[in-house]
Amino acid sequence: MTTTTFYEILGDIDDRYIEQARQARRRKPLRILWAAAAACFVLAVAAAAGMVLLHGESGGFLPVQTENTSRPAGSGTAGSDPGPSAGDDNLIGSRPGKVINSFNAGATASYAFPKPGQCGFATEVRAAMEEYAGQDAAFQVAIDIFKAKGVSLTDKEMAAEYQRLNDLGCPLYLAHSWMYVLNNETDPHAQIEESPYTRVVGIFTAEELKDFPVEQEYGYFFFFLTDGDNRPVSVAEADRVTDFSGYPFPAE
Amino acid sequence: MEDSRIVQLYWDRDPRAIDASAEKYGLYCAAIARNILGSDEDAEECVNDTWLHAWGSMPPQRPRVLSAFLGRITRNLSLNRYKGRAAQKRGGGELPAVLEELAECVSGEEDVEQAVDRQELAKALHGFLAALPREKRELFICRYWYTESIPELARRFGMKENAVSVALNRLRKKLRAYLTERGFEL
Repeated sequence: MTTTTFYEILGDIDDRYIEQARQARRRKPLRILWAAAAACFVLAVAAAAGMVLLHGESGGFLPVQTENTSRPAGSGTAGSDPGPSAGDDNLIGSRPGKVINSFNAGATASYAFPKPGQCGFATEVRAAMEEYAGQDAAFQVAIDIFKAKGVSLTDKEMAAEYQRLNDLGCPLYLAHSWMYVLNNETDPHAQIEESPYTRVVGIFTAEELKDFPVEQEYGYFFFFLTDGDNRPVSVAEADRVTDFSGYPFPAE
Repeated sequence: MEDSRIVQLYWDRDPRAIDASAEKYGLYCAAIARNILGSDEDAEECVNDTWLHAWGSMPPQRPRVLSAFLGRITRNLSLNRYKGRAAQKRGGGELPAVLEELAECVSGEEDVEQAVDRQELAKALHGFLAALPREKRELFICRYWYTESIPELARRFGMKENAVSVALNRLRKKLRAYLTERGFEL
């Protein structure tokens, strides 16, 4: 058999493995880096040229590594067709105007871990903040929180940090999402399943995000939460959480 | 837009299906094509052809995992284009290196008398992948399905390039042994 034929047949592997690897390519960063507990790794979220910036506490911006994946013909020019795909005109609580929970930035980037006391933003979040600058808009974002060197927080530490943010007036909500998982990692006949999970998200204006009340020991990374099929996740006022003693919250 | 809605647009013969596909999976498919062909121009053509093929396939097909369905079309189209290029002795993207690595798993010659049942081989490959730890499987698929470069894999997986090469080498050896044990003479 020729190598080309073999490569071609490799293309016939199960959709779920292809999809799982695709999602790993998007979410690999945090999981791998947590496991490695290493200091200076990069993470990849999906499949462009651009610059991602980390917002330093001092207000300075630090450029980090990106990848070039310009958009193909027929799908618009990167950054030229960035409208929000969902969440428009949602009125949540006292939040006026639009609540943006997704954005097509036309770019993918690799991110460095936010250092303690700093905030980092996914390309899509930063692009949305730029697009809606000066407008009456807020951004529904999930937050990854790290200690130094990208070490993740324990559930107890996460609960305490969410509670601190809530007590400072940050509007936090419980979002219900799902991801694709295999129901048995080692079974060749395993099925791909949609596995529900919950995630705390906050709704902040661009100004609030830029002046986020960080805990000096923690670094914060903001991104738009999506389901396994890239669909944005919305929350309602009824999803507001003010008591985090029960964190982590079970999926429905 | 949800995948199921995009698929329904194809079934409804609604041209917005193509715009929605390009919007949601254009970058994804372009990355697959570019990895194989190494040319933005060729990749763009393959991606545009992907939507046409998808239009011709749905209906009757109703893919459950739209990303994999579209990605596979792009991969096949890009491979075909690569073959045409190879005949003209033009270069490619990462594919030549990937094929060189895969040469460790096959004889490199087409033998019609030992024609391998493609479905059986695909099933065996599935068994091999299923038995791998998840991260090893993802590394293998990123290299041999997505055709990603070693430096890219090193970045994605937080490994040194040499460590990626070593891991892939072990996986190929393991694959060859796995297939040989099951009677595949490739």
